[in-house]
Amino acid sequence: MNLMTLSLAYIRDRALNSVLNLLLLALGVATIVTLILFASQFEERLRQDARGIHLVVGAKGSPLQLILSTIYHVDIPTGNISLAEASALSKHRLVANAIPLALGDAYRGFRIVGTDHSYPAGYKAELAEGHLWEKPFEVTIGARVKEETGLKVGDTFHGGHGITGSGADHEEHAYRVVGSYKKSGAVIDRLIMTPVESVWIIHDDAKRDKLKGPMIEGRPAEREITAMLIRYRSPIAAITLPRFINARTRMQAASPGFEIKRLMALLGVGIQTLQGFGILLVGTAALSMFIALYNAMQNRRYDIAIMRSLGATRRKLFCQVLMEGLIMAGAGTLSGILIGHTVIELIGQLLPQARAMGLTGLVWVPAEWYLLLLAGMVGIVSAVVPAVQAYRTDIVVTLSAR
Amino acid sequence: MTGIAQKSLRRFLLIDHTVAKPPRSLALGKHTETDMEFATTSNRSGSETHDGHATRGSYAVQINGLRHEFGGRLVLNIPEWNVPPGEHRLILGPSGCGKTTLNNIIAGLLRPQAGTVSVSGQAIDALGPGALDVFRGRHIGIVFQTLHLVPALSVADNLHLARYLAGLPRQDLRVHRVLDELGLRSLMTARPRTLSQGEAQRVAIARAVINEPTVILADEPTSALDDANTEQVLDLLSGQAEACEATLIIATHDRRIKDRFTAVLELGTQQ
Repeated sequence: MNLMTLSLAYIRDRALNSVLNLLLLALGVATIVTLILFASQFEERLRQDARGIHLVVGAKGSPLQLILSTIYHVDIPTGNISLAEASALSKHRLVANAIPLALGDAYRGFRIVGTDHSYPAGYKAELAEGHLWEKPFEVTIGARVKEETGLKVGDTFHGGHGITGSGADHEEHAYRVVGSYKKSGAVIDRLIMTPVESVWIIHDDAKRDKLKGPMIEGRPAEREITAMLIRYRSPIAAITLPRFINARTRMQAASPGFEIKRLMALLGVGIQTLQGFGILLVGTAALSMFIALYNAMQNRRYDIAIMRSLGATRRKLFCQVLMEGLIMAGAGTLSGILIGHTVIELIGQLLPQARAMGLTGLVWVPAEWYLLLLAGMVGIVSAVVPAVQAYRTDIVVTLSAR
Repeated sequence: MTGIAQKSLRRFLLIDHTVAKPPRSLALGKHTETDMEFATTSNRSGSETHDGHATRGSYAVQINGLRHEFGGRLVLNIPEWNVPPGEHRLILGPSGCGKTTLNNIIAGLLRPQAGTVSVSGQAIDALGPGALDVFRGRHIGIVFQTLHLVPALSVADNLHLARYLAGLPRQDLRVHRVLDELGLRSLMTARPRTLSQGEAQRVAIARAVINEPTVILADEPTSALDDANTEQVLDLLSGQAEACEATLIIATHDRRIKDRFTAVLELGTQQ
C-alpha cells in the first residue's frame, strides 16, 4: 500500500470513466504522434534521396513534377531532352558530375532506370550479390525489388511500358539480372538499373514497330534521355547555372532543395491542421479528466477526511490526487504513443506507397519527448484543482456533514 | 448525590446547551483547585471515584481547562479530565452535548479554543499540522459513527492503508490476525460496499486497532445496533483495546451501555 497503489485503486474504482478518458487522451496523442512520425520520415526521405543532387535538368514543365519523377520516381516524367544538348551541358565548367537518366518502363511496379554507375554510387549503395550492369539488358536490382519480385541473379524478365509496368510488354528484349544491392533505405531500393542503351534499343524497336516503316539500322536520328542529375563544382553554380539552362536551352533546371521546401510548405498546412486537431483532442481529454477527478473529489471528501484522521498529511493527500492525474495522463500518453507508432508501422507495411517510402513506426523521433512533457502538463492541469480541494478538506466539517 | 458533588458538577461538568445564554457565569477557571476526577461517576458505588493513583504526565489522555465554543455557544467546558493508560471510559450525553466535539479534540482533528489536551504525554496542540496528522495516525485509533471505510479498497487494503498512512511498515500477519479476531478473514478481499452494517462496523474497529494505538476513540458505536449486537460490538471494542493495551474512550448517548463502564464522563446534564 502506497500512494501509487492507492491512486490505482481509485482509478480502477471508476474504471469505465478512466478507460474512456484514457482513450480520449490516447487518440489525441496518437494523432499527433502519427503526424510527427509521418512528417519527419517523409521529409527525411525526401532529403536523403536528393542528397548530392544539386540540380535536375529535364524537359520543360512543372519543376516539382520533374523532381518527383526523376529523384523520387513517383510521378511521370515531364518529357525527354536531347542527349546532345545534355552532353554539352555536362561538359559545362560549373558541372562536377552529371548522371543521365532514361525512364519509361517498369517491371511489376518497379521502374527500370537507364543510367550509369555513378547513380547508385551517389547513394553509396553496396552490392549484395553479382555485379553491376555492363552490357545492354543487364540489370542490377534494388533490395526491395528483389524482395518483392523474387528475382535472382540469372533470372530474366520483360519490362512493361509506362511507369507502373502495366502497359504493353516489350517482348522482344528480355532483361537479365546480373546483380542486386543491399538495402540502403534510399530510392534505389526499388529501382531496376540498366545501361541507358537498353532503354534506347527497346524504344527504337517499339517506334519502328509502330511506324512499320524502314529505319536506318541501329541508329535513329537523335538520341534522347529523360533527365540529367547534376552536381555543382562550386556554389556559384547555384546562382548562374539554373538561369543559364532555363534561358538558353530547351531544357528546364529544377533544384531539389527548393522543390522539397515548396512541397513541405504545401503539406505543412495539412499537417499543422491535423496536429491542431490532435492538440484539441488532448485538450478535451485534459478537460474530461479534470471533470472526472473533480466529480470524484465530491464523493471522496469523506475518504480524504478519513485518511487525514488515519495520519495522512495534507501534503500526502495533495500528492495522491496529483498522482492520480499524472498516472492517467501518463498512461493515456504512452498508449497514444504506442497507438501512433503502431498505426504508422501498419501503414508502412500495408500501403504500397508508404512501403515504397520506407515508412516505419519503429523509430523514436526527438519531438516525441515533448509529448511526455505534454502528459505531465495534462496530468497537472487536470488534477491540480481537485488536489487543492483535497488539501483544503476540513476533516471535522466533512466527517460531521453526514 | 451530595450537595457538594452536585455543586461540583454544576461548576465543572457541564454546559447547558438548552439555555440561550452561554453559561459564562459558571465558575470557570477555579477548577484547578481540585485534582479530583470530578467528571467521573462510579455506577457501582454511586459516588465519585478518584484516579489519583495515576501520576500526572503518565495519563493516556489528559485534559486541562478545555473550553470550546461552537457558533457562539459554549459546548465544552472541561476543567480537568484524566484517563490513565489502559482504562476504559464512557463519555455519555444526549445528542449535541459536545461528545463528538470532545472526541475530535482528543483525536487532534479539532483544535481546542482554550486549554490543553495531552495524549500519551504529548500536548497535541503543541504539534504542527503535519506532525499532528502523523501523531494521530500512530497513537489514536478512531471508530467514526458513520464508519467511513475507503470504498475503492478491499477490507484488507483498508487496514493496510491505515498502517501506510501512519507511516508504519506493512504487516500482513498483523492484518490477518486482527481480521481473524474480528471474524472478518473471509471478507478480506470484499469491497466495503458489499458489507453489511455489522461487518462494516467490525472493519472500522479493525482499522482503529491495526496500528496498536495508545487511545481508541469510538463515536456512537452502538447507536444503530440492537441489544445483542451492541453487546458484541462492545465486547470486540474492549477486547481489542485490551489486546493492544489501549485506552478505550466511547462517546455515546446510548444509556444501555452505561453499566459496562466503571467510569463515565457525563456531558450536557443538569443534575
